[in-house]
Amino acid sequence: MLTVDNVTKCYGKKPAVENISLSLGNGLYGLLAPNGAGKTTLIKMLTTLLTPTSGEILYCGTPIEKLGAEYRGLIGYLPQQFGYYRGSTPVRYLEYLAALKGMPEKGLREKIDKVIDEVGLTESKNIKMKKFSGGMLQRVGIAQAVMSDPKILILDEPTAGLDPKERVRFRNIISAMSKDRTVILSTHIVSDIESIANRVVMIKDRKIFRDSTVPEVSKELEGQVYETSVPDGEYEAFEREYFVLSARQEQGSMAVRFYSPSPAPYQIAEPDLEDFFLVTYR
Amino acid sequence: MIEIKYPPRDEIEKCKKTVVEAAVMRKKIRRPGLKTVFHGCGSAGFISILIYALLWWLCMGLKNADPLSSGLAILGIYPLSYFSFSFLSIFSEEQSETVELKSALRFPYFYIVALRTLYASVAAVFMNLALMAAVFRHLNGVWSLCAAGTAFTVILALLSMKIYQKFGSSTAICALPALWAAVCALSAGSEKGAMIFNRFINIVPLAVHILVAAASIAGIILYVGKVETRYADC
Repeated sequence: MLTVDNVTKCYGKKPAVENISLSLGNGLYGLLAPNGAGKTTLIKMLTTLLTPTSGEILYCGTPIEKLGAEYRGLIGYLPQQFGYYRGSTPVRYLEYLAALKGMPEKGLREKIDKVIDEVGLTESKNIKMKKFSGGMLQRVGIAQAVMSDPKILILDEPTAGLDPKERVRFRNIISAMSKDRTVILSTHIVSDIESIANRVVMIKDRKIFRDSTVPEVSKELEGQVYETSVPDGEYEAFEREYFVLSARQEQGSMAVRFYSPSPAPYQIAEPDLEDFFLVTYR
Repeated sequence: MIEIKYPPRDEIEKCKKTVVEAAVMRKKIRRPGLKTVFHGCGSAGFISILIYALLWWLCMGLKNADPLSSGLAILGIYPLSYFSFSFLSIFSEEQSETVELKSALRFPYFYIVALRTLYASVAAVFMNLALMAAVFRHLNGVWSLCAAGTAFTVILALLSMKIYQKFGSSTAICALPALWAAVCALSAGSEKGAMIFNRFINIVPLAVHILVAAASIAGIILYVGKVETRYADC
């Protein structure tokens, strides 16, 4: 159990996150907020890269700074900017990172082959990474994060650069892994977590704004999201009156999904997490 | 009476399981070897050796120069081979953007830098000693110069580690060799500097120089031990 207890982090006098409190057990936690909201600061504190200005982070009741190497040995981390050696192959790079993780040499090659296979890089495992696309590099990043079978998996914007097929594959891997460990997935892309997160943690104004399940969050907008078709000529006026969540051009009109806190004479639609995200951070 | 609120039973069991697993894992942990410590340092090592060879080749020209000039030049370049390696290896890792990831691993980046500093500075000391014995053994006060060079190399390496720990940037550690080169150059160009150097090498007993060198080596070993306790104790 990972506990974030009233944590604040300031850069100079400017707070990046304030009074954050969370309890994270097994399951997948989606950390959702727009860029610059403080997600990466929180992630860096969870990975011991930053120390909180006040408050503390505990693992099984012990501060993670006190646990030190032992705690870092329990985590798998994929940073937002995944660095690599251009002249190295995935196998050699993973072997090196395994050594820094203290993983025993016995059975290591089999483990590396297995994770490389899971992320679909078997055919490229001995090719130098300078020839890789952004998506392939990201898959190497995911492989290194999961290869030590971590108790806590922390992923910062992991789907950046992945194509739709890779995203689905990634979601399946992460979803399967979250059964018996804590997975924290930080993103500003709602679809990354909507279908797989057990809980959604949203940050707004440097504080935790919501910490609940996807249906609970979506339900908050029940009766406030509508759908209608607006003639092209009337769209501008419509947009001024309502907060448009999405609009699709059709023949001579726009199919619009919008938010209205007060009842509107249109067809009510089922709200989803993306609607809540857009309304929250508009 | 104070009522103690215990976590649920399954939570306690889960924590116990984690602790037991961690204890079993601890026995299996592989500590970083030389290959891991110097991973990705090939180019930095190669360039440093070239710089080192060039500096020594320039020094060879001073073989028959006055003892003061050659002594100061030797002392000046003594720690520089280590510094070029230290700077280049950290700089290349910063360029590869691997530092953040490596800092979050069981054996974090700063611990690896500390080990590398220890091994590389000791290697630089031995290389310098071998070359001094081979080329400048006739020089007056050569062994005092060697011991002083060893002490300065190790002390500056230790300081560079502290600076890197504080500022986390390869450019910050450049300040030290720049300062060192400036001090040596100014000493060579001033009468007072030359006098201090002369006294330092010829009047301070060799035993004192050796003692200081030994103490500085012990200091860096102790410091790396402290880094290990803080960052990599498992």
